[in-house]
Amino acid sequence: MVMVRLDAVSKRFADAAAVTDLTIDIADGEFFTMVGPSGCGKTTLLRILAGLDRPDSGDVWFGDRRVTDSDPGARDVGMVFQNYALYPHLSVSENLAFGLRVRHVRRTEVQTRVAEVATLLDLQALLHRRPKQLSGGQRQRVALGRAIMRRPHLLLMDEPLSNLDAVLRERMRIELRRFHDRLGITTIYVTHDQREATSMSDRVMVMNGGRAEQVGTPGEIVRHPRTAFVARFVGQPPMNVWRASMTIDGTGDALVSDGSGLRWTVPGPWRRAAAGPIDVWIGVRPHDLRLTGPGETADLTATLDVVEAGTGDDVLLHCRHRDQGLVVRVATGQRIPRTGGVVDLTLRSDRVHLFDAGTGIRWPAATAAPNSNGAVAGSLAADVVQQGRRHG
Amino acid sequence: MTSETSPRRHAERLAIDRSVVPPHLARRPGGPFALHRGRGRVTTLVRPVLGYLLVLPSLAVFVIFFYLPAALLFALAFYHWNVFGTTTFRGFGNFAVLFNQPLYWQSLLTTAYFVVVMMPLTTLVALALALLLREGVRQARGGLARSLIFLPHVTPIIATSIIWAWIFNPQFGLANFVFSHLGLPRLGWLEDPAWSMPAVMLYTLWHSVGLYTVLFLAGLLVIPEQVVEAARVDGARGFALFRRVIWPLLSPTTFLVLILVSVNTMQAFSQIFALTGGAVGRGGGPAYSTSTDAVLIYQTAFTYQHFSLAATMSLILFVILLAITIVQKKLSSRWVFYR
Ligand SMILES: Nc1ncnc2c1ncn2[C@@H]1O[C@H](COP(=O)(O)OP(=O)(O)O)[C@@H](O)[C@H]1O
Ligand SMILES: [Mg+2]
Repeated sequence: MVMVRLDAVSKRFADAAAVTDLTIDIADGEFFTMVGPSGCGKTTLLRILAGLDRPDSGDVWFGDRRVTDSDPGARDVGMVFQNYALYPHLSVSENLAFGLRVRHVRRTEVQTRVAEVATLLDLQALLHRRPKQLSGGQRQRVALGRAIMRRPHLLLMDEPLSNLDAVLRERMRIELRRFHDRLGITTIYVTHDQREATSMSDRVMVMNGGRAEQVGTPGEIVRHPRTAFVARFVGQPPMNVWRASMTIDGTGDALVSDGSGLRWTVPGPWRRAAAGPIDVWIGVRPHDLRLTGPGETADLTATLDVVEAGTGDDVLLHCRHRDQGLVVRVATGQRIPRTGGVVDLTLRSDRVHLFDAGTGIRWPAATAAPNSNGAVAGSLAADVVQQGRRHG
Repeated sequence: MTSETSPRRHAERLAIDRSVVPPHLARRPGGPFALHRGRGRVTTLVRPVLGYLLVLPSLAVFVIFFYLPAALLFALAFYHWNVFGTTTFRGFGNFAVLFNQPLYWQSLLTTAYFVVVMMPLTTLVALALALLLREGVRQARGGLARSLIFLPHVTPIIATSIIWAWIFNPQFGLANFVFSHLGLPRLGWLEDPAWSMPAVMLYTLWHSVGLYTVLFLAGLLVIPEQVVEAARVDGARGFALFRRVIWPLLSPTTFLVLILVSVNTMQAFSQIFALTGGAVGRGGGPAYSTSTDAVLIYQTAFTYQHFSLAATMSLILFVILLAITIVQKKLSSRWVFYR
């Protein structure tokens, strides 16, 4: 088993940088997910790990072995390609056996392994079929089987569920995680679906434009997004984020206003950086907003545009606040105002996220020296500050 | 890996194949036009007639310019016919004359020599060039090289054959110039019965390999890159990668190339005739060493005015070509993989 380390890896293609100065450590046996919008460099990173692409600079380490220049076949990795890339001219069993055959493993041993993997993935009935005679889900299982046949110490998966229908995708998500726990293979999983990422991973790296925005556990990423990008990318429906300005008072609380005439206090203590007001992005998740109750003062007023039926337990209110779309999740059964009317909203002030308007980084900015896991350090620093307040 | 040929497994696979056919395309009782039943008698009558009307023009061209002459030619094979119009039926007499001709047998052997060398030679050279060029295509420098390799194929055979006849000139030719610089013996080429056929082969390779290279390039391009990458991750590289993945996925192209090379070389005439001095009344020499079947057919018909004998030889050549193509097609199911 291996600890994978990417050390300052960069890769450019002719017209654009695909991955820029990326450093991460992945622990032995971890289920690590890279998530980000299309074109953010996920596949490129996976290909660099597999040895199919070479980084322009930086190094790849498997344990204490530097593999930057090793051949894909010499790295002992298994890979599930996005479109599966099964060998079309070979039967399922030959597809599974391929890697062992190339390595001249004894025929009887190959057969034993094929039988084992076929049992594990429920492929016994399909062993003599060709890939084109398989359904998408079956192909996906064969691709997974082929990747683990050689018992690789690292398993790479590139959006393995993206070609499946929604029902199968839900089911395979759990299957893949169970599978990982059973085999204990270090797994690096790529997806553009943030729900997939947060539901099955030990840790998630959110990528944007070839850089890591944040690395952390799903909980950290959801509760303490390090940047405004992560805040908007993770969570469904996405976090409401809009411009505001903030001053920090003597006790360390932040006084925030967005020019709508309302001000509210976000309890700190926030680190004081400047005397004057600071431009920030303010972020509130839809379920951290609610309709203002009787006798309460409203934090926000907005115009209600559309009411969207949610999952059944809740309803999504699509509102407008100063030319800014806001989504509010409320429980069903509440009295919902007329569409077109004005609604008063209250926010949970301990769940408000503030990001620097210039850098997009969570406020207060991390002051810790950047290290190999700088992203984590940043979000943890914010975490500690906030927890300190809660306990105090 | 396991016995794929067991009857039961075969039947199973057939069953799978059939299940893949969508129900509306599956065969229905009542033949192919049964689908139109119920739309009224007019459509059931008009559709087939209209269909034949639509193919009629091209069918007519084919019949007049291809099938009719071919039929006449084949008929001629069983007659004795001379230019002055006397025609007598000879049954298999022409065949008997031919089979008693050592020169005819020798021409078949020479043709076989040509075909048997050209099939693997052309295939291997074209494949090698295609593999090299593909790397070039990746590096965006392959365009020029590809054009240069294809260029000979669009030159007129007669013109370039004459140039190559100079190249093969034993005293002043480029071929011997290069050979002596490489420390190889100077050869008689087209003037030496042992080397005349290899010279013809070299020219034919030069002239035709571009076409087959382009075919292989097209074949390589449709191999999914990710499949090759999957094999690399699986540990295949170099020749193992080629043999286990690229070669099988290229097999439809290889099959096409083999068929085309065998048909083209078996019928090859122009370059042999031009290289060996057909224009000055020779051709097929020296000492009949380049008298392939096609050359002999030409000479029999147009030098010796023996049209019916030439027709007989053409018929036999046709049957041989047909037989070889059928055999190749039959053998192909063992090694050609169609996606
Ligand atoms: N072979 C390539 N040639 C040129 N550009 C590429 C190549 N592969 C990827 N890119 C570019 O690199 C960026 C990252 O691509 P990729 O890693 O495939 O993204 P993702 O998998 O996250 O969608 C994209 O802008 C893409 O256009
Ligand atoms: Mg991708």
